[in-house]
Amino acid sequence: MSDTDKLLHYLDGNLSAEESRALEVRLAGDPALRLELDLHRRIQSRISQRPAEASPGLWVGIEAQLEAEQPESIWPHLVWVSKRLIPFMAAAAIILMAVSAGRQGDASSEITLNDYLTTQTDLVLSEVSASDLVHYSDAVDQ
Amino acid sequence: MCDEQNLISRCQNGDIQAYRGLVDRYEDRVYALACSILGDREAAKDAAQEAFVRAFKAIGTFEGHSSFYTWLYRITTNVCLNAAQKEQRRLDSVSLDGLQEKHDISGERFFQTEGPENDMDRIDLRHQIDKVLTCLSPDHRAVVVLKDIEDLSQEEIAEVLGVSVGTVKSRLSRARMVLRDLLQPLYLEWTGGIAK
Repeated sequence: MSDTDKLLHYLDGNLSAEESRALEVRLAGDPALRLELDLHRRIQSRISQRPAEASPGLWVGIEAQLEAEQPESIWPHLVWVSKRLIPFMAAAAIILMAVSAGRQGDASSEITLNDYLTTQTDLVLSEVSASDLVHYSDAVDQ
Repeated sequence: MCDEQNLISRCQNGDIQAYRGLVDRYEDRVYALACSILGDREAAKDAAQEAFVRAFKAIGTFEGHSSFYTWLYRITTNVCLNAAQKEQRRLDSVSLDGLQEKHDISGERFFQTEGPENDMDRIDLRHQIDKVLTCLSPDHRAVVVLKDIEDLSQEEIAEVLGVSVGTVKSRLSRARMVLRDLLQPLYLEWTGGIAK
């Protein structure tokens, strides 16, 4: 360890009591070493006296930056849109239900018609069959 | 401290207004630290502001293993070191001649033991110290500021900088040697070679 290192450790309190005493003995008999110790001590002392400055007020800038960088939530927009859409959605639902009910009514009419047509066709077919059967019987008799 | 914990919890839930309490509490110290490391008020204001914004964004990761201020110190120091390193690349290296010529530093003014008596003296002293500190690399400047101005222990500095205590000692020692080499001629001129 160089003399300068020893002086710096001495100033920072990193030397053991024994090492400190040994250095102090050397300092007593070495003016150049004393001069260097004084230099380091004055530099440290002077730097530690740096007058602090009060903050110029940081909150406004910090708040603006945080607000600007805050991820925009989609929820308020959804609430806003949904509030305005509810009447339209309700109206659309009613219309759909009405249309659907109407279609169901038509469908039941069609079934009735089909049933009717089927019945009538069966009747016609049965009549044709009966007359055919009469003609067939007559032919056989002749 | 309970109040601080409450503010931190609210901030962790995204309450920006609660953060104002923490900013009010620490802005002077954060700004002073930034000024000491950067030596420029405008740059320090930007760095301090950025440090607070980063701290809010990362506050969810703050678990309370260290004090909030130590955690904030670490963020501020990192922001300042990044800014100082960018600035350092831009600056020419400053020689002692340049230091004396450009910044009018004399041994008598720098080494006199009396504290500043008025605002002008305080401004002058701050200016001289800042100019001396800018002669150090940002890493060296940070340890000197944290040790001599902020009065942190070497263990606290290691925690703030995220390095070992050995690294702190080594950087501190090298920084002090740079300062000694820089200021020794002024000191010898002032003392005449005899310790005062």
